[in-house]
Amino acid sequence: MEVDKGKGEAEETRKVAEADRDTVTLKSSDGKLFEVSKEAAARLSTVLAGMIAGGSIDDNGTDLKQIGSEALENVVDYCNKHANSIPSAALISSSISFNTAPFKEPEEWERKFVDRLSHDALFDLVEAANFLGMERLLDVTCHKISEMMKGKSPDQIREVFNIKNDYTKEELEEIRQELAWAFYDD
Amino acid sequence: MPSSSPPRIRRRPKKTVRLSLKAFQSWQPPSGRDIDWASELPMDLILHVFHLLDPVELLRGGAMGACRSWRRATRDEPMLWRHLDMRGYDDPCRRSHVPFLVFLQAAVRRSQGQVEAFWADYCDDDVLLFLAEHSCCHVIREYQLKSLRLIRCGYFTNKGLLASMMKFPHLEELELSACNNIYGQEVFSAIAISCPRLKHLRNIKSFRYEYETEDDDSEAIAIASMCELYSLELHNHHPTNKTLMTILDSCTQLELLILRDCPKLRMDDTLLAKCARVKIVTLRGDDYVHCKITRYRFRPWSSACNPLRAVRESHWDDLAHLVDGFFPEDIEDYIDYSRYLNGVYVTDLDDDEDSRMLVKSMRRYLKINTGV
Repeated sequence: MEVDKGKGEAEETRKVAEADRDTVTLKSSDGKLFEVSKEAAARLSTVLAGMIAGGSIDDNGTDLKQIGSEALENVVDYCNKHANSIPSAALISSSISFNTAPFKEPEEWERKFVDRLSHDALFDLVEAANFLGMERLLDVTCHKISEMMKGKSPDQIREVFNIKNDYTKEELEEIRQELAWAFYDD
Repeated sequence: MPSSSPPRIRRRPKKTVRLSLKAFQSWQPPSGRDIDWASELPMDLILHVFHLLDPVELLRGGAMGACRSWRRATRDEPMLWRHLDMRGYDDPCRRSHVPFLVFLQAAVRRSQGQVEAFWADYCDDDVLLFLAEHSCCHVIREYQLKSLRLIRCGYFTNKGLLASMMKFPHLEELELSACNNIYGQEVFSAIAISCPRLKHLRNIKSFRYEYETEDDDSEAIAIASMCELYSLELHNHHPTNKTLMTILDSCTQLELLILRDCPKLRMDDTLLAKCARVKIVTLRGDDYVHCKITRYRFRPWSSACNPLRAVRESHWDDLAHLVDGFFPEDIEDYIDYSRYLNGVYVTDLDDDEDSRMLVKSMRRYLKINTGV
């Protein structure tokens, strides 16, 4: 009787697993589990696409040891939002006309998505996007970082990105002269 | 007396709580994990970020001056300088009294002769000649430029173009918009000969030249010899029906054709049949009243520009994103609205509420002012 019951349970879990096939479970470095649609994951991440195709997806949570739970939550959030959004006409490029700039501007929701992140979360998300081979997310996060650099002086950039000034006094003077012709002469 | 003392005591702790909360709030965000982005973010990601900054921003030196590794990245990575989009950066240059050319020199030097695209406005012959001289890759000794877009370059002349074009044998895209000193058959013939790989040509003239006689469609005849064209866009040109036929015959790969304010075109069945091969055809202007295009759609362009255009049916949605942003926004308003308010255009409007309102107000305006 007990054995039969066990068989039934196993069958039931298998059935559930089959039904759940359209999602993938990802496990962060600190052991938290996240579910994401298989279709979106495969479409947005080359690494996850490879893992899904190669069958190395673990139903109990695929280990992503390089990614913390906060970053992975953002990744999953991005995937879900991306799945729901309809790409705007600007994103559907055409080969007929002039080539546009190499990078397509982020959409409104993508902009909002990265704007709400703290510096630390943004840093982690860039690395996670890079690790997972998520080209678009990498573009969007890097675009946000480039926006943070725009119009800033070296001092301001050092402050924003918490960069240690590793120049010697002589080098600083050299740079000051090099940049003097450009823009910071006022 | 004893009853009044307790409130005083209560007030004090409240104040201290507020202070400590403030201190807490101001302390928390910057601290975080204390990530030094320069040393902790991998170099390929930094380069990815720098790639998204335009050349002007990179040359300003904010990122470059921050630390050694970032400086090395901007200076020694020619990839970052391949696509020089310097449109709209005239003003900041002027503010710092740096001539555009000095600026371009810095960017081109860093590219190590690998500039593939140069987009700019308000530049002159000297800029183009410099680019022609220095767009030759040091390693493979080949001229690299593939895309050249010049907008509102009034000081760019025929002479400069003729001298520089032969250095751009790999050019695939050429835009000359509101460059009023570029004109004539000689120029377009030279482009056709120097740039045999040209795939996209856009020539927007902001007005019709008075010197051009009624029969002068020599520019269009020269364009017909650019056999590799995928897309062609002409404004204020003078092709006749016959010349357009020649263009359509010789440019067998043409997929996108946009003609605006070409006064000598009279769309007829023969020409329409010829155009049928081209995927997208857009005609704008009052000269196509005879055109048997099945449906007209109306769309506000910008307050300064002609709001009407005719598009062959069903291609509208494909076209919308292609055409938006095609034209420099502030090309002079050379179109007389009243010409568009008679006949088929206005009566066959689409359901766009804003468009209808605009036409209504324009009609009202005309009634008041001209009594139409």
